[in-house]
Formats: sequence, C-alpha cells, structure tokens
Amino acid sequence: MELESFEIEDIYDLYYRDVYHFALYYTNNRQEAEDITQETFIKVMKKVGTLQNPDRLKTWIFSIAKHTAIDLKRKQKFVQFLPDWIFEKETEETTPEEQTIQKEDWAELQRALGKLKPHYRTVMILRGLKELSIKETAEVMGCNETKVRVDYHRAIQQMKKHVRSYEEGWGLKSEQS
Amino acid sequence: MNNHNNEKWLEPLKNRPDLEPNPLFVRELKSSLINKEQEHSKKNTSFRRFKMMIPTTLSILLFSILTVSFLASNEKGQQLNPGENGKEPEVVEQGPEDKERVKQDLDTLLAKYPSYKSIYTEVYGVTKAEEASKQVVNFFEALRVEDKDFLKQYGFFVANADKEVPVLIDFYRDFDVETLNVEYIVPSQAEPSYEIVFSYVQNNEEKMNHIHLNFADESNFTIYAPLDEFDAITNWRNAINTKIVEIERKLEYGITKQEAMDRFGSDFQIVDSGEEGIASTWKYTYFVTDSYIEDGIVPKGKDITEQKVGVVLIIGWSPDDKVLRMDMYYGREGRAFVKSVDKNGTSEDELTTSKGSYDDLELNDREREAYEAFKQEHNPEVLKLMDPISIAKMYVQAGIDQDWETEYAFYTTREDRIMWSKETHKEYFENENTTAEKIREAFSGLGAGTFNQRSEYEGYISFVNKNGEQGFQMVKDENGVWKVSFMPIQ
Repeated sequence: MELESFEIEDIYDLYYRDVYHFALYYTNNRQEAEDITQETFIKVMKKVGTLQNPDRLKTWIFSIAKHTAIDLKRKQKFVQFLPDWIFEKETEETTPEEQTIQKEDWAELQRALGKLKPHYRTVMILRGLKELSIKETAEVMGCNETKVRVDYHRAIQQMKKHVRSYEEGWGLKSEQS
Repeated sequence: MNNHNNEKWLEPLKNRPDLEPNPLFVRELKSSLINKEQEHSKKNTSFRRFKMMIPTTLSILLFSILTVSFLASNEKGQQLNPGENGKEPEVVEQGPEDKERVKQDLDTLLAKYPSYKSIYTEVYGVTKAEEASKQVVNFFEALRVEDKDFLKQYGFFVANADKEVPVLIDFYRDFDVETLNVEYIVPSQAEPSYEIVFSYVQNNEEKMNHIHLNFADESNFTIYAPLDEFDAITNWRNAINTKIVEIERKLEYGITKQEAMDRFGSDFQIVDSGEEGIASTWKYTYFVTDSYIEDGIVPKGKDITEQKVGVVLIIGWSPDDKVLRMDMYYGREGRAFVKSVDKNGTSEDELTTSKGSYDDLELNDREREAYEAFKQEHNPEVLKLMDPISIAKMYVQAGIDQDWETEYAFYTTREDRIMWSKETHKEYFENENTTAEKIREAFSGLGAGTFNQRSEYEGYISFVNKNGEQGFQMVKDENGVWKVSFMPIQ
C-alpha cells in the first residue's frame, strides 16, 4: 500500500509496527526499540519532503531505521562491537546450563541473531523475519540483489552455527540448504 | 509479490513474545509527532497569516463592540422582565470546565497525571486489553470529575445504578488522583476478571481499595467498585492463597518448557541451583514486598511466614528439557512449607522459620516506628494503618519492655469489653514476677500467625507454638483501630 501524500500521521500508522519490530529484533531490548522507533519517525518527519519516489517509502523508512539502530548500538560500543573471535570463544565456552537455556526456541534464535554482525543481522531481519523481497532488501541495504542473496545465505549459515542445539534433532539440520 | 521465504526454523522468532509495541508508547509517539509537525507547519505559514491578520482583527473588534453594546442594552430589559419573550433564558453551565464529563482524549489525561499513566501501563501489562486499560483510567477520571453517565455506562452496579452511582461518587469524593497507585493485580481463575488493588490519598488519609475488571468477552467488560471496607492485609493474604492454590494445581513432573511457560508465564529468573543432574533451573517469585531481601535461591521460612514474599516456585530441568522437579515454597497458617513434585510423586516438608528463637515477635521497621510513636502519648491514630498481628506484636513488645501503661493502652477501649483499670493492671504487673523470656515463650509464633476476622469488630490470631494451637483475641475499637482483647488468650 502506498500513500498519495506524505502525512506523518498516515505514514506512522502504516509503518510503526514494522519499524518497532525491526528495532526489537535488532536490539532485543524494548526500551531501545522504542528509542529507535521514535528517532526513526522524527527523521522521517523532517526528511519526508526530500523523498521523490513514493514507491520507495517503505524501504526508505527501513533504511532510516537501520541507520538509527546501528548508530544507537555504535554508541554502546564496548559490549556490542567486540571482535568476532570473542563471540566465537564465548560460544565455545557455553556452559551446559546455557546450552539448555538456548533451547528456548525464540530466545535462542534471538540470541543467535544478536551474535551476527550488524550487516548480516540487518539482512536477516529484513529478509528472513520481516519478509521483504530481495529487491526491497537491496534498496534498504543500498546494494545490489546478488549481494543480498549471498549475504542472506551467509547470515543463515552463521545464525544456524550460533544455534548450538540444531545437531541435537532440533529440526534445523534437515532444513539446511 | 510473494516475499515468503522457506526458513521455517525462524517461525518461533517471527512469533516471539512482546513483539508488539506498548500501545501507550505508540499513542504518545504519534501525538508527539503530530504536535511537532503542526509546530513545523505553523512556522512556515506564520508570514502568510500575518498578511491576513490586520483586516481580520479589525473585523473582530468591530463585531465585538456592536455585540457588547447590544447585549448591554438588552440586559437591563431582561432584568426587569424575565422571560418576557415567553422563553426561558438559556442556562449556561458555570461549573469548572473539567467537571462533569470524562475527557475522551486519553493522551491528554495520561500526560497530565503520571499516576494515570502508571495505572494504564500496569493494567495493560497484566490484561493485554487496550480498551479496558483505557477505560480503567477513565473510570478514575469519571470519579474525579463526577461523570455519572460514564460510571453508569462502564460500571457494574448490583441493583440500581441511579442510586448507586451517587454513593460511589460520594465514596471517592476529593480523592487525590495524583496519589493513585496500583499495588497489585490478581487475575481470577474462575472467570475472566481481574482485581486491581490500588492505594490513594483522600482528605490527607492514606487508603487502599480495589476494583474488579470483569470481561464478558474480549471487548465487553464492566468495572465493579465494591464499597465494602477494604482490608488490605486480608486481601494480600487472600491473593497469595489464591496463587498457592493455582500453582499447586499446575505442578507436574515431566512436562516441557513450553508447557511450563503456558502454565506459569515467562516471567522467571534463570538461576544456578548447582544440583547434580539438573541442567538448568527456573525461579518464579510471586507477591514480593519491598522488605523482602532475596538471599539465595530458596526463600527463608521466615520470609514466607511473614509474607514478605508470597510464593516461590523453583523448577529443575533435565538435559532433555523435561521437568525433573518442581518445588513450591509457600505459607499456611503461619508456617512455611515446600511442596515438591518429582518422579517419586508429591511430598511436603515444613521449613524451619526460626532456630528456637522468637524472630516472629521482633518488630519490623514499620511496627517499631508505630510502637515508638504510640508509646509517647498512646494516641491510637498512629495505629490506624497497622494490621491486627502487628498490633498484637506491639502489645507483646510493651510487656517485654515492662511498660505496663503502654501495654494497657493496647487493650480495647470498647466499654463493654473493659475488664480492669489501668491502675489495677499496673499494680498487678509491677508486683508480678514476669520476665521478658516468659512473655516471649508464651507468645512465640504469634507474629507468624494468621488473623481470622469473625465479625465486623472481632477476630483472633491463630498461631502455633510448643503449647499447641493458640488463639489471640482482637477487638476493633469504634475508631477503626484493632486492639487487644482483655485476656487475649483464653
């Protein structure tokens, strides 16, 4: 659905859930998700006049949300942007108790999503969870469709790797492509 | 375009809990954006408006002069000949603007009163019913502005709304909405209903009361505000007892994590029990007071009997995510127990509440403060918010302190219940060889007892000590303060 004119009220009604979902998946924190949603729509309100193509409203909003989320997490650099090897080590040292906790379906998936690098995490949220098309995802990410396909495939592999329990008959193995 | 991907393993995440934003946040952000946009557009149009302003102002000024002079000339005539034209003069309401009707704009209300915002959040958090949460706020607002129509529409009344609404309004008249605070919400198991217990200040007096939010279905509900005398302590205890019964029914060996979450919710802590064979442990804690200090995984018996914490449920999981054991820590008749369910069935053990000491008789901070204040002038006002068990404990403390006048002052002042005078009391005890130890021994367990109200102003505390099951009689004075009956232990 597209709008004939850019009234902030209508835009908000149409997309606030999408933006909030994106932010919640990205941060796994309700307060941060609210902050990102608020920030995103303030930016949307200020810049909507510059948007030339109404067909791109949705992907334009997602791309603002993406930048806002990345900015917010960048501010919390200590925890969020540790190098990958720390994540790997952490995964290797997971205690049996944590492994059990990880089996909390959505919670484990969310944890695995949080371990992806920001770029892969964003692709995974847009394509895998919010079910944007390859074309739309490419618009948000500012890259071509082939790169989205490749990155999405890699994001899936990495996320599955982080889900430690899939080898234990959790149903992921059979779905690996 | 079909955007669905085939990644079924992502489904649990797509349907994760709490995915939807809090409606309060959604509404607030929306109105804030609209306001910001209006400010923005005002700035842009202010110059254009200015060009229109001069002729418009002049027109309004001219019109005002003509109207005022016309009305002034008419007024004299009306004063002399009221209803001259055969018409009643139009009645204009002179009351304050915000009286009489609930403003339907919830955002304005929530912004104006933080207490309303907190009520909305609390009620929505438990019920997940947006409209009902909104109308609970409006219900309080209706009481404030005395909106009879609203109360009739959303309130539940036993017999005759026309008669009961004014009584309800009168009951809450001049309550301070800014002091409203939801203490706790108890969902009813029997029917789709929630009891909302809240505190507030009315005429400088702290009070507690409750309303019931009853759902006929998802969108139809009523709010029932009983006007009986609300007994906060008993209500707290009843709410805990209801929870105990509810959990007890749901204890089961071998169920999965999902089943456990369906039964007990997802508000648990993950703790490390360190027990052999237990892969992980969940802990649910219900009815926690401010004075509860969590120390270790298992609650102390004393904290349970004093109801600093209502119920604690601990679930141990096997490596294949099945319940290995469930332990429910709870209180019953002033004693603390743990009920365990495991592969061997169900068992129950009593927790030790004190190691041969008389901890239950020790005054907590609030009781100590009231006791010290009461000692000064024996003014019963300072006991007004204290429950019967606290008063009984203070009575015992006065005996331990050998402060016989204060001890006497804890007796009921109901004339038909007075059995001897203060002088006799003092004289007797000063000559009696009563030691603090004897008093403690006689009343041990009293502080962990249960109060049972038998009539409007009578009740007793049942408790257990080495002398067996005991009853300690209490009487409520005419001023509403619970006092000790003469010869409390019969």
